[in-house]
Amino acid sequence: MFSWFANPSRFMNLSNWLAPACYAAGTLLIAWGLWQGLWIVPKDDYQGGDIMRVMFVHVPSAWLAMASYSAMAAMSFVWFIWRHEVADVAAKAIAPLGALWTALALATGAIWGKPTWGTWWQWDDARLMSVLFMFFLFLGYIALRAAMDTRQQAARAGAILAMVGAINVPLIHYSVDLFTSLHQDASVVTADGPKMAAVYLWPLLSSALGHSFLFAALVQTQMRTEIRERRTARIRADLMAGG
Amino acid sequence: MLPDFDKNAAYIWATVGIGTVSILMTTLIVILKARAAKAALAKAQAMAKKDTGT
Repeated sequence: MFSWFANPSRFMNLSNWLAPACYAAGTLLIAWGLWQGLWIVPKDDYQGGDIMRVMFVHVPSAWLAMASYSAMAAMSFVWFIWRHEVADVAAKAIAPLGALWTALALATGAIWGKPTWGTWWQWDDARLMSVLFMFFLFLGYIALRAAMDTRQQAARAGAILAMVGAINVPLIHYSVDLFTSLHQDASVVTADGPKMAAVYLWPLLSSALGHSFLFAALVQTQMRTEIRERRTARIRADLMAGG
Repeated sequence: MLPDFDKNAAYIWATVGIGTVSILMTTLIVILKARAAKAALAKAQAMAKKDTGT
């Protein structure tokens, strides 16, 4: 299966229509989720009143931050084992976007924290610090790749960092259970099913799915750019060698 | 018409604003970069074709 997707030409053909479809689906789902979250659903006094509406931006960002790191680590693993170049292209494309969504989760979490907890940030909070650590892992991945001399070295060093750093993802998820944290417990992804009322759950899931589609569209576009840049570099190198 | 969020309005609109602007800006940058890469490849391919033809 990996080999089928590993063909750059096949990927370019597939993403030629899939990326625009993901842009459209992502925009519509986010718009619907936000409209519901801001205008339609009633405020929840148990969750602090209107401030819970921040959830419709913060929670999808936080989920996607963790999912994007997992995807980057998975793509790195595929490259590491099978040496499929498209997997390396995907990992490279995910890193800056994952960093953005992690920054968004941190920023919106701080905004939600101020009126709820009375502080923007808590340095000894396991959830907050593990997410901050993931943000630095994304930045470290980008910096490490940029510091390498060859593409192979960059892919190898980046893949090792991404795979080792993946241990932080379950730590983020379980940090509220394992350590004392200001952050609330999981209310959607739990063993007993979602604890949240359906009136909030559906807009939240719509927004989360929308963020995922948009993220997938951006990753595909970044991958197409990277593949084209590699092709351009190869043609230029051939021209230089020939001339 | 904008909803009224009382004392929490600044926090809620700041969150929506940061989310919307950062995602829109990123999308714009990614698309512009993609267009530049496409143009650069087309130019390189044209040069290669010309080089092969002569």
